[in-house]
Order: sequence, then structure tokens, then C-alpha cells
Amino acid sequence: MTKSNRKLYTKEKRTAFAFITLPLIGFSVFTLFSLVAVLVFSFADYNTYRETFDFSKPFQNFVNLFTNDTYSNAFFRSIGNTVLLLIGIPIGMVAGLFVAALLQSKAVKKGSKVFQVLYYLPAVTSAVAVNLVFRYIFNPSYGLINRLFDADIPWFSNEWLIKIAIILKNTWSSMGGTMILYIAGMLAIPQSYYESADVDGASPLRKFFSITFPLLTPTTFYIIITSVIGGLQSYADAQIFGAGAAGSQTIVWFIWNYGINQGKQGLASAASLVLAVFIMIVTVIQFRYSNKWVYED
Amino acid sequence: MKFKKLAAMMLSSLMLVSACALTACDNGENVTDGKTKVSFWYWGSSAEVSVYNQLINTYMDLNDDVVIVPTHYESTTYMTKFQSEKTKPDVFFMPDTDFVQWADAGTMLPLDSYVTASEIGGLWETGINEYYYNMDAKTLGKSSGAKLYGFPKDLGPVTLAYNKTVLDRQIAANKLNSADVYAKLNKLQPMTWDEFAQLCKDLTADQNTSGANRLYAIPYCEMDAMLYSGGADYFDKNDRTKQGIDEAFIQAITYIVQLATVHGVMPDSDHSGDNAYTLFENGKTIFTWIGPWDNADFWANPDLKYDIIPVPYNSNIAHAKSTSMIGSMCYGVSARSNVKEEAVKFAKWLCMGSECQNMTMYLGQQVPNIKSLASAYISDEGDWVCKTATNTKVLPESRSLFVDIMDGDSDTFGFWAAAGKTDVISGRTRALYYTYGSTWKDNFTDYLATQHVWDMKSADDIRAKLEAYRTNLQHDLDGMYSYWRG
Amino acid sequence: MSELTKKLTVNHVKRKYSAKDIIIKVVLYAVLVIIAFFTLFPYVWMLLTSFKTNAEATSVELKLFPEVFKFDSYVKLTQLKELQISDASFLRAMLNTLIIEVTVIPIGTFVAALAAFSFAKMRLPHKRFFLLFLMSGMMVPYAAVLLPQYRAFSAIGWVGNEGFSQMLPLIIPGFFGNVGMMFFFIQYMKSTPNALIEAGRIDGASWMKIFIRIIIPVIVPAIAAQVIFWFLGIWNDFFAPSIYLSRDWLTLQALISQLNDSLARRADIPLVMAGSTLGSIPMIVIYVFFQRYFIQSLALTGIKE
Repeated sequence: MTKSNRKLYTKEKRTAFAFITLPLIGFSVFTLFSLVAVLVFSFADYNTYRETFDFSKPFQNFVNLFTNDTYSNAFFRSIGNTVLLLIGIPIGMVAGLFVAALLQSKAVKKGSKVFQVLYYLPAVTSAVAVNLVFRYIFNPSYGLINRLFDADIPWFSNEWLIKIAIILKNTWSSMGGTMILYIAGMLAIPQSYYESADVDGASPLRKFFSITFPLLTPTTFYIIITSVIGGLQSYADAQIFGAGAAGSQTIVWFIWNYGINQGKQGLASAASLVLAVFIMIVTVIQFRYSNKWVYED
Repeated sequence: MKFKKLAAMMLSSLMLVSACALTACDNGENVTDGKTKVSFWYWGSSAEVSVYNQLINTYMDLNDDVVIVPTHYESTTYMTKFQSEKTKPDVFFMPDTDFVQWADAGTMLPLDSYVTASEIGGLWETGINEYYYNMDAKTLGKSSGAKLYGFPKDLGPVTLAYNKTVLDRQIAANKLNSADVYAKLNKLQPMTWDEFAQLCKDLTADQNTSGANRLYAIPYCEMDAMLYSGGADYFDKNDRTKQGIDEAFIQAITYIVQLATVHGVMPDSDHSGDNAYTLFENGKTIFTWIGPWDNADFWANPDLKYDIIPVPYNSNIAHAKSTSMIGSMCYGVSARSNVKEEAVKFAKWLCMGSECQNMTMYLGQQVPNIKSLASAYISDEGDWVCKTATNTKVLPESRSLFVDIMDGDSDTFGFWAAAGKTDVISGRTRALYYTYGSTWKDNFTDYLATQHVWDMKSADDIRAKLEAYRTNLQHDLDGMYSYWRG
Repeated sequence: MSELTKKLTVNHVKRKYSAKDIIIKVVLYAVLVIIAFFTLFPYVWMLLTSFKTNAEATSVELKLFPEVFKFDSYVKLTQLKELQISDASFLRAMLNTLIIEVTVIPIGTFVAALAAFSFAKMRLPHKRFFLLFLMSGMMVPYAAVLLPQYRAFSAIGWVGNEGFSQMLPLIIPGFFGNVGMMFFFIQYMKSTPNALIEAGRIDGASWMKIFIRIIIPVIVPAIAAQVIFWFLGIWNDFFAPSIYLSRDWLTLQALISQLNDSLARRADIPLVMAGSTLGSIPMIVIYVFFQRYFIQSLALTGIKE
């Protein structure tokens, strides 16, 4: 390397570093610093009314979270609810895949674009509007469903029914996004695969299960990761749709309720930490094991 | 070159940040144009907001050296905003449910030195006594060593109301004797629980379907009021530390649940009461729960004819007495206010100023805090906003019941003496007032929901679920008290 | 069955359809129409309800169409502040949302693209470390860092005040770029030829100049794709705005959810539905006009990585 080259390289290094400083600062301040603060808070009893920090019992928040019935019941329930509500993901995926397969089938030519545009609409509609409309539709006293069937189905107060309602709602809103991803995945599959299958005389169903679906595994994998991470952070379902009903409380709602609503920030920080660790583990596991079953060329 | 650009970008964003931060910090100033600025935080419905605007203007006319700077928040976010505000407003709403946390934290200014005994004496004891707190003993209510930390805004006795139009229609539809039914709806004679359940069944006997489209007698039950009227409470009445899941408590919850599951007079789909007003105003229930502040909204609908009755009581429990739940709120003054004198003066005026009390009374917002105005509240004379040329009656006709409830066990106005009876109607502050935080009660309501207690028909099943919760409730209360009282 | 397959796959060359084909076609279209009905129905119900009176919306009789189409709720929406239903007017809330969009997106996108350029095309020391460092932030849920951020913003006076500064917690973090977006740009830039950059270097252009003059024009499709989704994300965001904002500074979604809250016990269903309708229309219009971009960029995001 010549002297001027080296000088240029140093300059390039410096410039390259300068270009990434803002994201580095942003990450350090807003995420790293906040995570450290969460860690500190979670070992303190922070009384928001008295504005006092008390570190005399550093593990009390975790003890409360996991063993003290006063908090652990609600905490475990919110974890359970969050995990149960993830059932909506495979349902939405199957629906999305089904619709994608229909729209890509040779029998459906005309209007396939129009259907595609229609089905994707819920994905651009805000969670607030979706939750409000569905809350009205499911309202036990004057909602569409109970009035239509003249029934008294306790959609909100029963802890199972509210989950069914939320899953139905989430399937409705997630189908379009999944569909588009699957269609994109299908378009990327080389036509030659199907042509050789045609030569063998394979049925459309057989072609779907032996060619399309296996080749879509990267898409499936991507959808699972993003929806599980999104699902673990669900909040509007509990806040707007469920209005805090026991059957709809999620982990993020728990954090909001204790941290911001009830002023128990230490406890909420401990819960945040548990959530963060949980999401990191899920992500790492998903990436680690992805190679084993994801078809990639 | 590139560093310059980057630096310029960072600098400009920094400048934006600091400029914005500066605009936020201009509320340290308390005097403008020789007038003292007093900040005031409150919440309320649109009707209440316009009332407060009028009140504030009236106050500023009366005191032209003061400028009140009001801030209105939604009730759902109010406490969050209050918590996050570093400089608390000079005067603010403080609900009874959150009072003790903030009084205990030293946020609220002791007001004793600003009021005279006679001023205090003119107010309802139930109201003013609520806002005494003993910082050392950590006890609520008036006692030696306790200081006054808030002026009551109003007292909200919550009791049952009925929609007269729907009631008359149901009496006719079920061929009931109108005089008999109305005899039961008596402001001086509460029904027993059995009588009330029977009446509800009789009135809805023609509604043979079950479903969203039928008429129900009552949309939900106010749990505190039903427990109190069943001679029960969440905790021991004296030291409020021992849990109260006793026989009376179990009977009360069983009665509420069975109104829906056994008697079929209440929907079993919604126990939050969220839809109650909509159902009541649309004529889909006969009864609902209301407080004095609801009058303003009900008067806006001239077709709505209604009246109130006392909460039914459990005649199977010897000491049970018809007892309404009283919700309340106070005006607090920040202990760190720079304009304490002016702030207290304003808060005091809101609480006991006669202009203010008259105005809110005739607008249908509240029963006056001053006892001497009670006779005006009962009378149809006066500047009631609901009076028209054709209609001179003020609803609800039995509104002396609100006064009677606030009067507690005493008979200050001689309602009972005049009828030759002894007072059997009372009121008690809602349970959350007595405790530090609401976790214990949230847990209880979540327990009822997740254990499907609301769907149970059998009294034994309900009893078993409640008995199983006894230690949990005690545990929650113990934790709360040890956190509060150390 | 193989006969059918052949027809299904090669029918575009044939002019005639067999009866079986037609039946399959009819069934498939019927399924698609039914799904479309369920997808669209909530929108129809929302729109029709917004023209009803509250009594109609909550009455025993279930009717699809309102007795008379009433625009009262929409009139009310324009007077939210005057009627003291909410703290901000509808237009103001829309403007507030746009303020966040137009301040955050250009700066944030520029910063993310610049960083991506550095990662993809420059000799950055410890590249792997820095990339992993930044990417690890994507795993941290927002809810987990919300509390300390809330406290920190509150300490510098950006929370619970009356002025514009309450918007800063929603704006400032965006200035530091969006890591997801940056990662996407890195992937995209890898496929741009280095020759262009080399040529620029030989001409003596600075790195910033190369980035602005050469790289940005090349990655415009990627920028468009990401900007659309960021725009959508900010428009529909609810969690953070509902926590930080109040009074005149509410964003649209926070305002709409507040309409629901403030009327919790006396629900004005048509008003809430009118608010939801008006709040959804802008995104739907943008989507219908730019649906090609939406679908393309979603596809770009999903396939690889």
C-alpha cells in the first residue's frame, strides 16, 4: 500500500465510521441505555408517588412476578393469553396461503388483481379502527353478532370467548399480508418445476404439496418469525378490543398497566426484561434451527 | 466536507430539540400583567367542561387579580398525566381512589390552616371527613393528628333508577297492578333482595326469549353497593385489614350472579356496566345505576322519564341495611405551589362558594356540598335548567334520596321523622378509597371472570369459588398494607 | 385427473372449456367472492353505521341501512373541540400525524441509507461487530424500553407539558435511522455494481457526493418501498402516541381511540365509526393508488433475508 493509499484508507475508515455514528448513537441512547435502565429499575422498588428508589430488596420484583400471587397470577395469565393468542398466526397463514394458491391457480385469471387488492385492505387499516369496529360487532348488548342471532354470548367477559373473538379478528386482518408474501414466493418458483411435474402427470394438489409448499418454506419461516415477534408485543387487542378484560390481557398490557397505569415501575421493568429475554431467545432459536427445515438454494 | 454536512445535520436537529425544550419550560412564571396565574387540572364530560368554563369565568370576574389556567384531560389518561407531570398543577382534581397515595407522598398541601371550623361544619361530614389523613398513623378519616388534604368536589351517591315509560309498558304487558308496583318503588322503604328479584321477574315475564334483543330488568350490578347493602364489605369495617369473605359476602355475590343465571333478569354477558347507559336510554332495561351527575345528561333527553329508589338490601342478614356506594373526588392543592394562598382560595370557592354550588346544582351536576343548600336541591323552585314552560317538575322526583344517602345514618332533615320511621338508608364510600392502589380489587374481578363465577347457577359452586379465594384476598390486602404502612 | 391438470395448466391456448372446468371456475370464484365479502363487510358496516343515529346503532332492530342517511357524526367530527368531545380537532390530529411523518421519514431514511452505504460499500473497520450491534436492537421489544424512555423524556420535560415538545419523544428517536430499513438497504446495495463507485472515486468525488449522486438514484425503488411502509406504520401507530400525547397534539389514531374512551359509558357508536372511517380513508386511497409499490416492496422484504 502506498502512502497516499494508506492515507485514503484512513480517511475512508473515518468517513465510514462517521456515516454510521447517528444509528450508533440512536441505538446506544434509546435502546442500550434504556435496557440498562430497565435492568436497574427491575432491581429497585420505585414508588412513583413518593418518587423514591429503594434497592434494599433487589430481587423483590422478580420474586413478586413469579411467586407472589398478588402479581404472579396476572403475570402468568398475561403470558398465557399472549401465547394462546398466537394460535391466530397459523390460522391466518393457512388462510393466506389458501387465498394465494387460489389467486395463482390457472383457473382464476380475470379479476385476480382486484381480489388481491381487496384482500390486502385490512393490512393498511389501523389497529385502532379495526379494533373499534370489531368491538362494536362483538358487543354483547348491541353488537351485530348477538343481535343477528338474538343471543347473549358473553364475548368480552368470558375469558375463552374473548380469545376466540380476538383470533377471528386477527385472522381477518392478517390474511392479506400473508397472502401477498405467499404470492411473491410463488412467483419466484421457476416454472420448469411445474412443467416437469406436468410431464409426470401430477395432480394440482400433488403439485401444490410436493413443489409449491416446500419451496415456500423461506416465506413461511419469515411470516412465522415476524408474526410471533409481533404477536408477543400485542397491546391494542387488550387495550381497545378487550378494554382490559381478564381474558385479553397480554404481556405488553401488563407492562403498561403496572408501569404506567398503576405506578409500579420496578415490577413492570422486571416484566419488560422477561419479555425482552423471551423475544431474544425466540429469535435466536428460530434462526438457529431455520436451516434444518427451511429449503434454501 | 462530509463532516461539515453531518455536523450541520446533527447541529440542526439539536437546535430543534433545544428550541422545543425551551417552549416547554415557560410555565415557571406565575405572574403576568400583575395577575396571579393559578393552574388547574380537571376532567369531565363535555357538559362538565362547559360548566367549568363558566365557573372559572365567574371566579375571575369575582377576583380580577387572578387568572385561572385550566387544563382538561380525558378521565382515562388524567392520572397518568398527573403522575408524569414534574411540576404539579396548583389546583387539581383528585379522585377518592387515588387520594391516599398522593396525600401520603406529600404532594398535597395540608389545608387546615386555611379554613375555619364553621366553614367545615357547613359541609357534609361524609364528604369532608374522607379527605383527612393521618400521616404518622397512616389512617384515613378524621382523627386526632389527621390533617385535611382536599376539599370535596361533590359526593356521588350511586343508586338505582328506573325508566318510567318502560316500567309502565311492562306493567301493562304483564297485567300487573300498577299501584302495587309503585308501592315497592318507595324512597323511604327499600325492597329486600327477594322482593327486588321477584319484581324484576314479574316485570319481564313476557320476555320469554333469552338474547340480545330482549328487555332486561337491570343491565348489571354495582358490586360495592350490593355488598354494602348485603351487610358485607371487602374488609373489616374498623381496621380494614381483615378480609371480608364471610357469609354475607358470599350471599351478596351469589345474589348478583344468580340475577343473571337463575332469575334471568340481568344479561350474563356484561358485568362491567359499560353498556348500561346505552341500554337504559334506549329503553332496553327498566333499571340502572345512576349518580346525581347523570341528571344533566338525562335532562337533555326530554322523553326520558325516570325516578330513583334505594338499593335493595339482604333481609337474611340481620345487620344489613340499604347502603349506596358513594364515589367522590376532591380539589387538591400542590404542596409545592408558588401561589398557595390563591390556589387554596380558588379550591375552597369551588368546594363551598355559594355561587359555584348553586350553579352546579341547577345544572344537574351535583348535590351541593353545603348542607344548607339541601332544601333548595329538594325543591322544584329555583333556576333548574330542565324546567320549561310546560314542565315545571324536576327529575328525579325522589331526589331527596340522594340527600338521605349522603346524610348517612342520621336524619338531619327529618325525612324519616316526618314519616314516623327510623332511617334505614345509608351510604358508604367506595372500597378503593380505603386502600393504597387497586391491585387487590383488579385481582378479585379478574378471579371472578377467569373462574367463570359469572356463569354459575349453583349457589354451592359460587360459595366454593369465593371460599377458595379467601386467603388470596387476605394476602393481597396484607401486601398492600405492609407496603403502605411499612 | 391428469386430463384435468393438463387442461388447467394449458387452457390458455385452448379456446373451449369443458363442463368440469366451468364448474371448477365457478366454485373458485364463489369462494373468492365469499372471502371478499367477509373482508369488506366490516368496512361496509363501519361506513353504514357512521350514517346512523346512536339509537339506531344500538337498537334492538338490526338494520343494515340507516333509516335516513345522516351526516351528523361527520359534522360532529369537524367540531370535536368546540363540542368538547376530545382535546384536539380532527384536522389538527391529522396535521399532527403528518408533522411526525414529514420530519421523521426524510431524515430517518437519509441516515439509514447513509449507514447502509457505509456497511455495504465502504471499508468500515469492525463491520460485522457494528452490524450485529445495531441489529440486536431489532430484537428488543418497544414495550421493554418504554418505561425508562418515558422517564427520561419526562425528566427533560417532554412529557406532560402543554407544548409541541410532547411530540419529540415520537420524532427524535426516528432521526437516528431505522435499523430494519438500514438492513434492507444493505441487502439492496450489495447488488449495485462497485464500478460506479470506483469511477466516482477516480473523479475525486467525496464519499458523501458518491452517496448522494450515485447511490441514492440507484436505490430509489428500495427507498420508495421502505418509505411507504414507514409512512403506514407511523400513520397507524397507537401505542406510543397514546402514552405520550395529549390535548392539541394527539395524533389521529390516539384521537380516535380517545373518542371511544371518553364516551365509554355513553357510547356514541356512529361518531366512533365516522372517526374510524375518516381515519382509514387516507391510507386506503394511498394504497389503492400505489398498490403496485405496496405489493412489490412487501414481496422484496419477504422473499430473502
